[in-house]
Amino acid sequence: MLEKNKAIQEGAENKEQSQVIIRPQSDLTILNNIHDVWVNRDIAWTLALREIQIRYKQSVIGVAWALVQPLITTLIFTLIFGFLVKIPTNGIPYPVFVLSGLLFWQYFSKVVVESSGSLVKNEGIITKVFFPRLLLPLVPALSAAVDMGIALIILLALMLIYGTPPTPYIIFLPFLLLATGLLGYGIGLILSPINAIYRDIGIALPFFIQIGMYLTPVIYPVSFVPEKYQWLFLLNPVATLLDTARAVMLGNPFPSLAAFGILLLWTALIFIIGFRCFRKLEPAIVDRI
Amino acid sequence: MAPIIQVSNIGKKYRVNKAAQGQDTLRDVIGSFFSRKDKKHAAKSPENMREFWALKDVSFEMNEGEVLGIIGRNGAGKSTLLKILSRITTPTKGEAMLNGRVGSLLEVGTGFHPELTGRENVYFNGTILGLRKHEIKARFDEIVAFSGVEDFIDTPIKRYSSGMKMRLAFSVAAHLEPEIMIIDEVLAVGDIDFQNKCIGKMRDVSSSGRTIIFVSHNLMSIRQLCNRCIFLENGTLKEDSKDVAHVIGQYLQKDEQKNQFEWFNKGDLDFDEITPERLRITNKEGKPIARPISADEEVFVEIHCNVKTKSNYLSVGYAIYDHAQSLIYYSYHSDLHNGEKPEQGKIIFKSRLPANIFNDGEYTIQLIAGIMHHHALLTRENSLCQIRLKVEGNPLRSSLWIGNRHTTITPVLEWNISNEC
Repeated sequence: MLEKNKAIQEGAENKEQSQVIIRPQSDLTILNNIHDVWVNRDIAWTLALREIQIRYKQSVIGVAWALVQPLITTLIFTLIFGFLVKIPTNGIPYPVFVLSGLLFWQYFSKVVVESSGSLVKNEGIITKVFFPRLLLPLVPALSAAVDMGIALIILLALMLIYGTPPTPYIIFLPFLLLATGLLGYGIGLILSPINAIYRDIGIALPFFIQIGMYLTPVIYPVSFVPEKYQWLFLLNPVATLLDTARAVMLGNPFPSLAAFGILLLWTALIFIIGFRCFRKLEPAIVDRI
Repeated sequence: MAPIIQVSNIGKKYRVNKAAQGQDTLRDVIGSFFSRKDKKHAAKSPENMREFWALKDVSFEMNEGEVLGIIGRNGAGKSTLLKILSRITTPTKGEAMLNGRVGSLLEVGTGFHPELTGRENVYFNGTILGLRKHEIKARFDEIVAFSGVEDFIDTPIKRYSSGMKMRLAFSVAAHLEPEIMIIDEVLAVGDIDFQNKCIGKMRDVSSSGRTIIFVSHNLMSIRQLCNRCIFLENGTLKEDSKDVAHVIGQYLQKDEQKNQFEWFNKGDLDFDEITPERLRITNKEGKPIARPISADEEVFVEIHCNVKTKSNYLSVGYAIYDHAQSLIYYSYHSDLHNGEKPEQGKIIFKSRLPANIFNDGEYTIQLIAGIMHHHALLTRENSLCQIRLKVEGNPLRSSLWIGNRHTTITPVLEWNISNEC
């Protein structure tokens, strides 16, 4: 919002203290933005819960769909790339390999797509009620976690079936998922306001996501690519996250420090641009509707 | 005692040419990131836009427990002011300080999700208004009881009638005990009983020391409820007094003077595509009628425009409101598929106002125009090109037509009587 927001949540208990100053221009820093999101996390949870409730309202179909989708995709990829193309996966059974990649990729792409559409989707609310709109692109990162959790259970089951137990490092998996969700949120911060003005972004996005999947080692390992091109994956933040995930789950080698450095740079850059872009376009979006 | 609301010199500028605004903002963003400003575009863009101030230099202060009514004609800036105070939109100028939580109710079913049940929506709305779960829980029964929708609380909102939605929305807003309550014309929906219940509740709320800002075209409820009243005109504050009756009087008087039978362009309104020049009521021969009309009289709405660029998407029309400023309908010359497309030059758009439709009373006719699918020129929110239409002396159409019907319109419709065979 283009105004400072002092102790609005603490005000719930001691209401006398909540004071709001409404101003045309703001000098909000990244830290203010992060603070805004953190203070209002309750709202993000509620919104996410609402999404989940709606998605699984017809619970049988909802949960079944979350189960069937990764299973079928894994099956198809295993048939094509495991049996026909025979992509080498360093001794890891292909279904386990591909599902571990798909799980991450599908979570990431769902967050990016849904959070880019979040402002358009919630037009009705943002023009009628005030709340920090920065939270809207964050909601998919929370709600999509349910589908991902279901896929994760399937993956663990597959790993047991194929006799590839997870490494002890798997306790770091939640952090990786968090980082993936945040990265998607950052991209959503950039794209959601632009999408509200130019709806074609929403149409073009799935296509780019599709391309993105082939540029990321989801269905093949980095080692499958000729060595002289492997450095390109360093530049892909999702590739780094995914390789780290495979390292902690399946015992693959960890990515290099350089890859982590670039990942951090990407994240910082995306959030700096994201917050600026969002704050700048936000008032225009509300006034357009 | 420090004021609970302090509004100083608030101004809000809208850019009417929305298409141009979009391009401009994206350019702004790209420009500010890469500081590669396209000078040609930057020079060109202001011409594409028509700026208009929905609010100009509005200042006032409110103390706790005050109930402020805001009145003014359509487009006077009332809703814009409420939107700024409830932080939905930001002001272009000035500053406002609110010392307390704000609960705003700007439209029926605000923020309700159609798929979720009433119960889930109460929690959802409560959280958005800044309450913790246990705080909502503590008030839940009271909210439901007041709204009178107990039986449907576990039914999805999409099955609610608009009246039920409104009851629940009002009930949530009123029971969450915000220090400042902002309400925009929502009472229009409920039945009389519920309206009275709401007014009673708002009295309770204000007597418990909380502050209410209330916009309504219903001057009766303003008079009943408010202990202070503001009259907005063209975005500026014309009157502000604790003497509510006085402000209402001023408003009605202004309204009388303002709402003439003919509107013409004083040279202050101009678009790239058209210049609206005149709006009036005429008879069949095109003679202006500057008097109340009779319900069965055939009259025409006449709009004079200078069409500067020919466009297949140009739509010129009018909106008509009843005495309470509720929209009855609006109509564009382009409503018909085979409607004629105006050439360039001075064009008269003329539309027959259906006779035997309107009840006795006062109506407002407002000129609206836009380039369809592209951008609006004069919208129902901002168009000040308005004239008054007074309908009088509804004739008794048959010996069985009894007295005045208390409906907005009183159409005389065709009936056929035939034998069943």
